[in-house]
Amino acid sequence: MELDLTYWQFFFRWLHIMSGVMWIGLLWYFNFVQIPSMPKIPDEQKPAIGKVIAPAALFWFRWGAMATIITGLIEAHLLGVLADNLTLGLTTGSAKAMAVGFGMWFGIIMWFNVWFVIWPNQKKALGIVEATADAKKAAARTAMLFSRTNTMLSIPMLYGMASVHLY
Amino acid sequence: LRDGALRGNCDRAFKGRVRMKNPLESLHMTIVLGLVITVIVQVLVNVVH
Repeated sequence: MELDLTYWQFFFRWLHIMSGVMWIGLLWYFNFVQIPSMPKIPDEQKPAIGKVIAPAALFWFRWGAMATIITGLIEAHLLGVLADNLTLGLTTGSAKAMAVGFGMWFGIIMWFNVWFVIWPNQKKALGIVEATADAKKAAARTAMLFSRTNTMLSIPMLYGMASVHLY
Repeated sequence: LRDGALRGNCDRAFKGRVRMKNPLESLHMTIVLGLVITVIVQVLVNVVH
């Protein structure tokens, strides 16, 4: 085995998949487990989620998103397909670039939602930054809906990524 | 609108206004919409290429 371009393409794909599992795994934990379970948890036990588990999960969630985007862009660059994928293959006529490009754009939108919508609103909702009771409630709803948006987009995003082998 | 004709889908608000529920409040609808977008993406790729 040589540490040539092929190896580094593989290496960044490995990092991209690992960080993607961290990100989407926690996204699905929030949407499939934590959010639906909160109404069933007695009020006196809710701080265990809000004060301990959610902040820790959100840390790995947002940095998992950041690592996924960075390693994905590096991988696409090393493969020489970054511009072609981001322009959906419209200039080269590549079906693969269009399919994977859709996946990349969904991923980029999801990353933006994590860092610029979900996290700022979760900071208010969890009391990490000061907010009134009404502002906390509104922030929690916004964070939940954008988290759901990301769950929705994760389905075509993964389809686009995985379809790299179709073409 | 009487007798909850819109019950389950809508919330009745003040002054006769009716607020539709956001479909993303439902986990099942979230998954359905994700699958619909997936099909649209595949159709687009097939149509363009």
